[in-house]
Amino acid sequence: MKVFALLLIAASIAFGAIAATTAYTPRLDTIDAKDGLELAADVGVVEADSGDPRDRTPLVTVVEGRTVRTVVLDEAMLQTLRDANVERVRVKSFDFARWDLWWLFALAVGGLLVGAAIIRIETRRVTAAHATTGASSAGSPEQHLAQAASLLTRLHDDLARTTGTEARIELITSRLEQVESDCLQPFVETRPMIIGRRGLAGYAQIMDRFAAAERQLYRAWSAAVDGVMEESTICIAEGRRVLDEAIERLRG
Amino acid sequence: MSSVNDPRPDEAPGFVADLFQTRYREVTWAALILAVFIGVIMNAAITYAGLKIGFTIGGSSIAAVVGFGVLRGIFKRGSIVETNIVQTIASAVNTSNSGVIFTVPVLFLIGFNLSIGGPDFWLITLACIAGAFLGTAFIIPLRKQMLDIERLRFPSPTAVAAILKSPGAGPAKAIVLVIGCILGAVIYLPTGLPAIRTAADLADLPALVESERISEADATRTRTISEWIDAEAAPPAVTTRGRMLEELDDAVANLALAPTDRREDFEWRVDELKDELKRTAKDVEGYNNELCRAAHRAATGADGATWDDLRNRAYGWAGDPAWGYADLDLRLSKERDETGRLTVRVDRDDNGRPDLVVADDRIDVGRILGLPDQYQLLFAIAPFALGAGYLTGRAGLIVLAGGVLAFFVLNPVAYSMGWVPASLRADEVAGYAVGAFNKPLGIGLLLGGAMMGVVFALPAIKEAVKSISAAAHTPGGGDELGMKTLGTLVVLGFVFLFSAAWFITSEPINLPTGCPVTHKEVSVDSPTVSYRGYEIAVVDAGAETTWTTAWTDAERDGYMDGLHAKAGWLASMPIWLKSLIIAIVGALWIWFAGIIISQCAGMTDWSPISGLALLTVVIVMLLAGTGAVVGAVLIGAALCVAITLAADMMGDLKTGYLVGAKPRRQQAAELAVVWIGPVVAMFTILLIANANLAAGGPAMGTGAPLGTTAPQAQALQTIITGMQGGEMPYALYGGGALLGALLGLGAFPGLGVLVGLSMYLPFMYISTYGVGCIINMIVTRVKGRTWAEDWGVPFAAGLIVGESILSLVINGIVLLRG
Repeated sequence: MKVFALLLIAASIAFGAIAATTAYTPRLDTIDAKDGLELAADVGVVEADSGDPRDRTPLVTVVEGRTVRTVVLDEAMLQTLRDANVERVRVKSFDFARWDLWWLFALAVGGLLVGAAIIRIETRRVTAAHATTGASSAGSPEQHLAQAASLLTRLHDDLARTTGTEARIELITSRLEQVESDCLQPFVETRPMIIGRRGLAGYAQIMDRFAAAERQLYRAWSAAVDGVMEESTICIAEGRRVLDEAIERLRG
Repeated sequence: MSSVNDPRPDEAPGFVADLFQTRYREVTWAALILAVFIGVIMNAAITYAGLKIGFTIGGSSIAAVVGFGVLRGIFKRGSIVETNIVQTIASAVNTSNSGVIFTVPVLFLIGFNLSIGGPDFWLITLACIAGAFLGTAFIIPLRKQMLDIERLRFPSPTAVAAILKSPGAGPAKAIVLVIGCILGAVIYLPTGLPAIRTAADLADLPALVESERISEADATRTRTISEWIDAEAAPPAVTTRGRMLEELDDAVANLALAPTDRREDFEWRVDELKDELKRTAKDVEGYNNELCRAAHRAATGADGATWDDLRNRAYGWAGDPAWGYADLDLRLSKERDETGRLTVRVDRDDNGRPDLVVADDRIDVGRILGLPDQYQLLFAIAPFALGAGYLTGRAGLIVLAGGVLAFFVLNPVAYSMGWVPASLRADEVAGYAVGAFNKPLGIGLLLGGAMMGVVFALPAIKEAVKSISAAAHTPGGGDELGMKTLGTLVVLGFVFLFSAAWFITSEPINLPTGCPVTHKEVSVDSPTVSYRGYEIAVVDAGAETTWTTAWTDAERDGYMDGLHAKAGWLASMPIWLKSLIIAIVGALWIWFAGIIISQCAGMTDWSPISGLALLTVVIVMLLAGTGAVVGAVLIGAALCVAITLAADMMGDLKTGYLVGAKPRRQQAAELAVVWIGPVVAMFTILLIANANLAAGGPAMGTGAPLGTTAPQAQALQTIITGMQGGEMPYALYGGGALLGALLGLGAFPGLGVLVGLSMYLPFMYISTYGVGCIINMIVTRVKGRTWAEDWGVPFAAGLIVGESILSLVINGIVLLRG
């Protein structure tokens, strides 16, 4: 169903755009000289004897460089264009009555609405399925955060046992990179699951704390690389604390 | 100053103490001074370059590299987050120039003059400063929503973070980053180098024409100038024109200094010379005014001028470009029609040589594959687009889809159905379609999509704002600047904007053209009459009486039509109310446009500044009337500055996020300096305009002696004149907006933004960007996500940075060489 909806949306946007393109390009037979419409682009063509498209010239030149000449579609001009079998012209003003492809645009709007409705129903179904996923199951957001918290606790303990600045820097940077790639990134990918359970507002509350924790860990990494161990260890502790807040919010 | 590892503990909590925390160097005086210095230099240089070449350079990556070099290399003490502050401040000072140069030069182009003694210069500067504060203050509360909750990717800021983190990323990743930089620069080198041109040797002219580096007309003109140099004489029509141009300069200068009773004599002389120059223009067709002046000076020996001086590219001597990809001379095979002429398929410009398939900046894959001419499958030789595409990954495919929709569905259908002028060739359709329908439809989609994005994100925005407000009550004030501070700045910015709008709305619209009754010069101090919602200056009470009683409505309407001054929607309102509404709409629009531009930059790395500036001018002209050009440009300039700074702030905050910077410190640092950029850019523009005027040319535009043609402002000028001529395709904008909003109802709310943006960007960049996205997907599938991130991100970042830096260097050389 979702694939169908996506195809419907793609087709609708294409047809909608195609229909919109003609909004300022009415058929010549819908134009009344009394309207005093002005041309917005060159019209018609004078084919060269050579038949080569490079030698063509417009029948009526409107645009010269950056200048648009004022050419009014009066009766004489309309007759000239009819004689040259011109079917459509580009004009400066829009009128719904002159827009012959409005029905295609309306169909496209309908297609977009139907496609959106199908996708929303499908998304709700998938979201509901996510919502029933257990917090303890593998790949759940709770598990990723719990693993991150445990890695940070281990890092804290290992730091206490490690001496020498170089060794401590190495320990911090390598462990934080591990936390980022093994726990935090996979947690971010569980977004649909969290939104399914908690809605967008609840997700925002959780991510508020999660991002604050992640930023503290990035800072801990930077400070360690710069050799500022005090800042780094403070940030690890702070990151761990804020991560607990995120876990708390995730539990609801 | 403290070292990186300062053992002193943090001082007591408090804004200033927190800002200048000493435990880990972040905001320091060294960083502040260095960053402002880098920002000011870059701003002035890029303003000048932007007026000449039509585009600007962001500068965050350059500031990061320079910051690193100075703080770590020279001072031996910079930290990662301190260098991040350098790039934050430097880019904040630099970035606003793109907003200024897109809008302000329009005034020069349409005949207004700005001077340091006039109020308009200061009002526009004030509006730009207001825009700078508003743009930055409005976007800060959305940091949580865009970065923490939506986690937008921001490719370039991610690249800057990769540079900042390179010292700790391990030697292998640092090497990958450097390889990316080198490769980016090497790939871009033959694309950028041809911008550097030297005066061509006569002997090389046939080869240059043969390789299509110069036109036959360039070669002919160069040979002619060479003959003049050899003969030490030029045709009388040329030297006479040069003499008249010099006389005109003198007459204009005398007019400025003339006492009132002698002004008419000088005015008469100026008009006479202008008419004569216009009448004889055809006699010197193909030779520019500067060449005529130089020939006249050489003939008279004025100021020690010699005939050899004419061997100068500024006078029309052909330029020999440095080596570029076009010199590979890879061309289509020869295909002739029955008359022996090369067919249009292989020789579009009809110069008797098959067209290049590899130009300096692009590869025409469509023509290599033999696709019909209406399908133009081009790839830009642009490492930055490749890198940005890689950093965006799979999500970027939607951008590619938007490009495909416009250039492979819409345009070919319009061509085959006969909805484009029949005189256009298939290969010309894309160029026509961009202006005629791709751009208005694309901007409409973008607006509708952004609107839907804001609606759907409201719960998250609400939570983000709640979180900021709550944090303000915690000890230390939380991570962000509080809503109170931001609110104060917004109010301040709004008051600035309102004041500027009020002054400009009260200003007579006929200052450049003179009194409607007497045609004599008028000033802001002249008495005024109101008509169609405009103020019109008259010389005295007599003229006022004539205007109000003797003139008929038809005469007054005729005069206003001559000024292209149609009544705006607010025409019947008093000036203070009109200004208030314009300021409110302007501020709301700045908020909304800031969101749009940050979303676009966050999702794709491209910012639709031009489209939004265009819409701003349209909105203000609808409200205030089509004659309110200064007001429209003023609000347009404020908005452009605001949205560029909004995108810059959000990008800097993304970089800061990735390196663990404190958002509050970045925000405070940026807000402390945002006012500098508009001031520098405005003074640079004024300096250039005065230099051009002093050299006898127009202040800006075609023929400006310094070559400051202001291409972006010319594009905006076209919109303004189009608006005055009633040519805005509102239905296309509206239709696009509806489609964009509905598109956002389904898959994800910002979809319309991505599709709309790519509908009017040049497809060759979209396609290269798409290749980057696809490479990311392949690498992720083959090597896994971690590998793709660990090694791909520094490499892609290197591609972006390599091209940016080389581009700056090449443009610097071009400017220095004149």
